[in-house]
Amino acid sequence: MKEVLSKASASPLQHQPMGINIITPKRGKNISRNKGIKKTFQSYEGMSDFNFFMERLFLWASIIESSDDAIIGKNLNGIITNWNVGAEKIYGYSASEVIGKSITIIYPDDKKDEFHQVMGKIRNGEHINHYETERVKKDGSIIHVNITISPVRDLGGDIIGASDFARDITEKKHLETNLQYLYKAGEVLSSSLDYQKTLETVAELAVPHIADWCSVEMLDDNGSLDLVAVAHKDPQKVAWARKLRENTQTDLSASTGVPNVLRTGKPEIYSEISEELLKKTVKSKKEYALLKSVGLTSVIIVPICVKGKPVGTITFVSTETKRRFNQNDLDIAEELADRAGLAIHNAKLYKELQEAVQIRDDFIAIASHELKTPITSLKIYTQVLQQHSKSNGWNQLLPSFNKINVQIEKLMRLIGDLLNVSKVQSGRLELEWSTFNMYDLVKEIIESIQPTSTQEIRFNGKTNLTVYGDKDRLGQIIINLLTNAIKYSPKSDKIVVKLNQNKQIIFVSVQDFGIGIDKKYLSHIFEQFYQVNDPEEKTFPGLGIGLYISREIARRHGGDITVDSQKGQGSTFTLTLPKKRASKNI
Amino acid sequence: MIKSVLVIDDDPDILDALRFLFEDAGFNVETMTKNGEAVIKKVKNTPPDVIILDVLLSGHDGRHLCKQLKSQIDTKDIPIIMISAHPDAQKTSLDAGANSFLAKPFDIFELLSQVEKFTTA
Repeated sequence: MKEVLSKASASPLQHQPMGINIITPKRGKNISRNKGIKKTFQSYEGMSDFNFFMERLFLWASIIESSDDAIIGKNLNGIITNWNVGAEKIYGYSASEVIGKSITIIYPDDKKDEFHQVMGKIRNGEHINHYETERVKKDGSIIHVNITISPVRDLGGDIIGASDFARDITEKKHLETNLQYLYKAGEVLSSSLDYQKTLETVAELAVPHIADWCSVEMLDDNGSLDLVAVAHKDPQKVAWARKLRENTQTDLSASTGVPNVLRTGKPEIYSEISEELLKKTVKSKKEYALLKSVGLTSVIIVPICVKGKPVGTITFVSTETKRRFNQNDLDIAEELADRAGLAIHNAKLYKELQEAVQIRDDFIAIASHELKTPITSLKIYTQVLQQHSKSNGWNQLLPSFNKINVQIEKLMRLIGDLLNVSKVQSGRLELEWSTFNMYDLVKEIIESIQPTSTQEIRFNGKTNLTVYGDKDRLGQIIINLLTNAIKYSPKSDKIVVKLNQNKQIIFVSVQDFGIGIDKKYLSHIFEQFYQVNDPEEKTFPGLGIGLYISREIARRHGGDITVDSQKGQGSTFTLTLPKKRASKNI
Repeated sequence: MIKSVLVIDDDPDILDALRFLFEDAGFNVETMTKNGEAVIKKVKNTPPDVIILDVLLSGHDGRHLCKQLKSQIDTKDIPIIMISAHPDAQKTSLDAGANSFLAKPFDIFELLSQVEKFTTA
């Protein structure tokens, strides 16, 4: 036998695509017509042609039988003629069950078309190499196969049928789809903070490639279970499942299933729901009939945990595809549930943060209102007394009243800044749009600020410059730039304000000749709560929000604030505004 | 003839300060923190020359009160100056029928000149 093998390997027979041909010889054909075979036969003297032929046949048959791949022979009508052990293992049918039947027995309903295409190619003598498709097993489950189909010729060279070599790639395919699913679902989960919505998408993505059904259930604030999402490829079935759920009360004390997973935080996997298991778990005949009718095959339930505490479950159910979930599927499901848990946690944190911001904003709004009330009283008394001092000629008191008024204005600006910073941060800063004369606004502001300044504020600019924007807010910017200029140039005697324009832009610049800003701080001065804090310099008190708010307001107008400064020389801050009406949506 | 002003605010300190201001300026001053019904009754019985009305009264919206006063034949001609620490309330105050609006803290000369304008018109 060994000798035959080694000789056979050198035989030209090996190079002929005749393996299947030999075990399915067409009766009545004259073997001697095939010259190749005839020659081979003649070259083995001392062994009868028949014995040699049988030896070869046996060898081929045993190779075929020992293969894990399915090897199937069929005639041109698609009738199965040969069915090896591999085919029995992969498809679940024994040879005696299928020989003589159509190969379409293993084609799923939605793949029946493939049959005619395949047979057409075979009749033309074409090979179909490594083609991936689905087949259906005897038990109805769908498997993924990689098939090579080749024409089979008789000794005369005529095509008489085809050989199918099929490998079961279901596991590999599932692994691929699982990973794809995990990737997509992970993306969805991290894309939005609306986790109810994302969980629906996660469930929808799972069907039909991962499971026939996928549902997500979450514990609500009252500790009852909400069906957040349920998905199936058929929307009618989804409606049916939702309705069914509405009419059934989930027993949260149940020892298996979703309630148990929620209680223990441990996943459950039922690779194969046996009759026995089904009977054990159902509580009524009705429930049994229902589960039988959907064809419950395999189930995975994984807990969604937030900070280690189960808050919900994701359930994958296989029914019509008869897919049996395994450890690999469970791993993927657990990974997904982990990501869902993280997404929910993030969403909750975000919500808490939003609430905290809201509380802060409400607080600032109330606090600023409360602060303004005593300031209102203070201002009334001060002004009345100031008036009396004036009319009575108590001139020595007047500077003090001026100082009180300046402090009141300062207090008001601080309160206004606090209120504005919270509005800017939460995007609630509303602008009142109107067209106004910029020259008049700047002039008016300078006139009101000049009494508080030891520096002379010089102003020159075009008188006819109109701007479309929020007059009060833009005024705040100019006040902020002017008060900064005064504050940071205590030893200088002037501040220069210029109003200019080019074709597109209006410029308002405020130049001081004070301490200036070191280059290393320049990029930070528009950040909120930023204060230049240089041990070598005198510190100037403040909240560090004026420039931040000013720039935000400028940008909302489609403009900006820029700075040009040299340490020791002074600074120039320039407000730029587009001449064309800025969109309100900026 | 001495002019009369009715000041309605929920903060007693503001009422004190405004009383001080208007008395100093030679007005007859009445102050109220009461709810809408009492104010309407008071205004009908002894109509003031001008009303200073805060936008937010505890439990009552000053703008609502303003609307009520402006919708009744015997009170609609009394000038109302609304005041508020919420500068945003200007538009809604004027929409409610107020003759003018001042944001707290206001300049007393501004307030007095408006009162002057409305009472001499």
